[in-house]
Amino acid sequence: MPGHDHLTRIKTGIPGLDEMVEGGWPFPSTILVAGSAGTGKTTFALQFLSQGAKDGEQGLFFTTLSEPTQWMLRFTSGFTFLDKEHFGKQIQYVELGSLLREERNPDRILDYIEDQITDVMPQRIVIDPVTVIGELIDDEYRSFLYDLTTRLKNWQSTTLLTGEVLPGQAYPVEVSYIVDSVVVLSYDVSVEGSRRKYLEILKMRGTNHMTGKHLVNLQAEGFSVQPGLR
Amino acid sequence: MAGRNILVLEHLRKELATQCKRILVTVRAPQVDRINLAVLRILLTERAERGIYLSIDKPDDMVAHILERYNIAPAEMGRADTGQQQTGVVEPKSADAGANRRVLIVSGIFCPTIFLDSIDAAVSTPEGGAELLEELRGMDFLMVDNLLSMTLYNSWRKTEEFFARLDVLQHKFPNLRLLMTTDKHQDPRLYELAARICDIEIELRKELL
Repeated sequence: MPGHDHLTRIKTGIPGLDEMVEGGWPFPSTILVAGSAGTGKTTFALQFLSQGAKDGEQGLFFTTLSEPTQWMLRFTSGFTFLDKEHFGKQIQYVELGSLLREERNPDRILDYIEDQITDVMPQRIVIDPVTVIGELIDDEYRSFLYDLTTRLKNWQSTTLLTGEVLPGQAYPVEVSYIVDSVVVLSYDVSVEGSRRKYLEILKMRGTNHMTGKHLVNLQAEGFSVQPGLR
Repeated sequence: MAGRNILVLEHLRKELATQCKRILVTVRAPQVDRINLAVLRILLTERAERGIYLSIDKPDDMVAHILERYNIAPAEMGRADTGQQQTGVVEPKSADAGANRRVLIVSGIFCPTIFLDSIDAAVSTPEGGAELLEELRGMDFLMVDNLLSMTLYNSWRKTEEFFARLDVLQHKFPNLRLLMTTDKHQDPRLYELAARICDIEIELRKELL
């Protein structure tokens, strides 16, 4: 594949990952970060927004779970990559859970998301996890996803959609069709019984990327990838 | 409106008060769209100017949707979409406000010299020429939305040709103010080319954003 260094790129915020993807995520684009519970999807997404805040970009974090801002802040406060000054300013947090409990009309959900984007004008957006919406609107989920990504393309931003998967499932297939990139977070258990975590880029349009599973660390400093270590 | 946007608007209002006719706005690439919207708000909404908004690769509906979301789109908005049709001719859409249009959106054109070709072709025809000439003389600005996308679709030779012809166009219509936006660090060669035909650079540094 030829190099694509003419595309605008923004830093991923994950140490080790930029080198794997020609310097960063394509801007604008839509990325699925898939993984089962505990693989670090939300941390990955927060690092992405924190990097944007450091680079003078606005971030918007939609959570589809019903939890107030302070709840997320409480659990993430131990991460050293987070600057709490950014919350409510460079990183804005929108709780979609309450709306989703009452609203099943995909158009109204999309309108609400777009209203928030219009207000904030973000360069970086996260919807965490998008798969929850699928459980709520069921039959209309595929058309919702299509409309969501179509509308997101109107807004010049890089959007990270996180996708929850069941053990044994690599990624939510219905989301993978409509995104530009797919990143899978996974883990296995070594013979000694320790759990090793991995990152794998399955698809990244317009980008020469490193393939295969790469070892990751998830510590107080956040997520980091060790390219080449498998 | 968020405080950071108010700061940007205030800065741009002050800078755009210049009498210079060729203006290059520089900002980090991810902020280009936000800044262009702010510029359009000042020109179209606050100053009620008339102009042409040339978008290299955004589809027509996308541009119209965003402008409407921010209440920037005036009622007298003309839309011409060449890229999606690939006809090579700028044809007004049915929603075009015709001769009364205050902003003409030319979008998804990929190769923007096509737009300049269509102006040359129209001006040279006896039927449409006089009317178009009159309209162009009444326009206040021509804005090219994101120069960085230029080289994704065009050769360097074509890119150079575009700037040379923009230069000629502005000489032909001296009231037409040229406005362009780019990221000087991402593509320094393109920046130099644009800066060569511009009189002034408005740089939006990270601290302001």
